[in-house]
Amino acid sequence: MKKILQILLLTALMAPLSAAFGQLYYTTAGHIRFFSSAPLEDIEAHNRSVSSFIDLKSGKVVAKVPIRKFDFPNDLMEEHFNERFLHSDRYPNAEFRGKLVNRADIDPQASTPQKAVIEGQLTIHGVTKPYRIQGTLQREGDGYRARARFKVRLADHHIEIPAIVSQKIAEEVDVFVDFHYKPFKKKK
Amino acid sequence: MRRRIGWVAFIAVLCLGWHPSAQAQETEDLMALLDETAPPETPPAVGAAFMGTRLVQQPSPRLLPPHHLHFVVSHRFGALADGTRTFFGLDNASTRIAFEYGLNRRVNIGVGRTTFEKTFDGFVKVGLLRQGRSPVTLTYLSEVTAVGLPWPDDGFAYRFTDRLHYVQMLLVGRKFSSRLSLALMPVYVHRNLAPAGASNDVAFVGVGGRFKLNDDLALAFEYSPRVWGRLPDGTAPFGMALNIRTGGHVFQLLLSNGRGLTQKHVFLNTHDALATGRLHFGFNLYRVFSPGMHHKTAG
Repeated sequence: MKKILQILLLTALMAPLSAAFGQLYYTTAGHIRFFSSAPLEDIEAHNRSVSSFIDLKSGKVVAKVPIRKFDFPNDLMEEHFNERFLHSDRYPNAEFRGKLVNRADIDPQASTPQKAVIEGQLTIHGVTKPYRIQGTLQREGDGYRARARFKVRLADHHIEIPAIVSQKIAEEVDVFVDFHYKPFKKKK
Repeated sequence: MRRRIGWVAFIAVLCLGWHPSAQAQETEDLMALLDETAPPETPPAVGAAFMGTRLVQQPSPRLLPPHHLHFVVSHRFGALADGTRTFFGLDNASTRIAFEYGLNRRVNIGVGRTTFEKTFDGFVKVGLLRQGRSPVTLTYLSEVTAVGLPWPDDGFAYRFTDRLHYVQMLLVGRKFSSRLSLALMPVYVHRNLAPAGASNDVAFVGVGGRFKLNDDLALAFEYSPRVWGRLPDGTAPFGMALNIRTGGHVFQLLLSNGRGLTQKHVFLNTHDALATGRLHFGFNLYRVFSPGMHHKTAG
């Protein structure tokens, strides 16, 4: 009886802990790269300061992209990106709120990349649009590596490209996501 | 024993209660957790306070980024008030052609040639402070000009050093809002050879600013009264400009009370007092060459 009680007690203590936090993974150094290919110019920028959480139990995913942390091949491009196109003083972050819709098909223990489909709302330049993003989720150490690729139409987010530089900036840019999620442990 | 079961149950319920199931969390909760967890961002340097490397006629605190090259063509015309006789000053043009280059994050260098007085100029611009980490942006500029006019045949033995003029400026800028930036510009000018009645050394304290109308248009002004030294035929330089940004170019269309293109000329050769209303039209055109662009060949 005593033994059973002890086990019960242990289970009672552990179960909610793992339910609340065991399935929660995060990164604060996620990598997002975008690539714009236009007739006159190819432009690539990197951001390695993306924060994201994924809850593998509920499938919920959020991410925050500090716009000023995009690195460009030169400072003038970066200035135009921030001041002229993304208005990062007014809209400092891009944000994503969504859900893993094929959670049931994913084997969280498999070491091979699992196909992941995420649906949600992406806010860039203060304008929110629904997105369906396909990528992969792969077990990596005690965490996960998530990769995805999708397209963003600048006009969808009211990012206006003046006619004079339209030959240098694509109407649609490719976005590449590469996050290394670690288990989240709440600080005491 | 009963009491113990009671305690166990109580503790178990407490634990369950304390750790709400993750499933119940909305994305907003997750977003709040993210905001809590994300490392505090170091304040980024404040974005561009000035559109060009010049405010109107005088330099702005802005530096050209590393390895960027400016090709600058500037024109100043005669007084608009001269009317149809000189086609509103257009017949009396002075031109400066210059290159400016960003050596690194802190140092810009430049050279120019101006038709007026056949002048060569060279300058070094050094960024000392940048707004964000400091309340203001502080930039130092040093310009040396050599006027190339032939010496008058008056029997004096002129030396090369008599052609030289030195301008030292401190440019203190602050961006107050996304639209409004202001600058304070103390200036010290030395020349080795001054005309009779004028000091070899004069100093000015200028104020300037720019107001952004939209993403691509900004208004700028500057006014620099003299605070020290004698300059009988000189007056405080004033200028206002409309800045237009188009891709790799910045255009500045300006009105000023002088035709100065180098700082030496702005401070020592501005003669038309603002009160007379004799303004001159002019423009600066910057072509920017940036590194790291993947230019494609046509077709």
